[in-house]
Amino acid sequence: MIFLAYTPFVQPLPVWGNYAQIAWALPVCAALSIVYKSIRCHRMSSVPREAAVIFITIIGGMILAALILALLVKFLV
Amino acid sequence: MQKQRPFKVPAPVIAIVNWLIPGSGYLMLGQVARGLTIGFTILILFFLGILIGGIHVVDPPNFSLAHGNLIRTILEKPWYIGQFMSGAIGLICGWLGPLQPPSHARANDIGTLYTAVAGMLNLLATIDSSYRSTLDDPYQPSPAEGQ
Repeated sequence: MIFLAYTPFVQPLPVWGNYAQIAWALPVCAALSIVYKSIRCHRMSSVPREAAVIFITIIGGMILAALILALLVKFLV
Repeated sequence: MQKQRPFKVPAPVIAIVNWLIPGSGYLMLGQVARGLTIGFTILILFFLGILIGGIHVVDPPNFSLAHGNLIRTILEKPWYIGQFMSGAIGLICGWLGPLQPPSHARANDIGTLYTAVAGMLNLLATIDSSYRSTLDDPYQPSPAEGQ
């Protein structure tokens, strides 16, 4: 019953405390991709495909960086 | 066929209008799809930020306590520079936010990040739309465009 008496936009969203909170990186990466490619692309019809490519690139890069750091922690620390 | 602009607007006016309402600078240039895409994306990101962290994540510096040192007061809350760039919605939330209870920990961090990134994206769109307004044909690819 953590949503009891929850007021949207006034109180923080009570969804914390598990690994699913990592998913909050996805909306900001998606918005970044869409706005950046909307500015860069000459034709708006090419924006969805270009934004999807850069979105996957960002997420893939973050996962790769996380794996490298996890391996460093595991074997060096 | 070369499209014609609805009307010629000076670049500073485009910049101010686009800062106030994200994406509206492109609408004034006649680029409706680009303006609506950028505007809605920035506004959704900003509203998602205050939904996650509460409206108090937009927390402007208190200039009444500056005692003449404005730069230091601003740098004490540097994330508001990004939130300020999101335009009218950032100003309104900065006015209403401090009256509400603050959030803490990760919710506050993520909400602050979302709202500040929305403002930075609006700054990017403001610079681009004002540059396009200086072109004879804003539908031509600008040097910033990859394709």
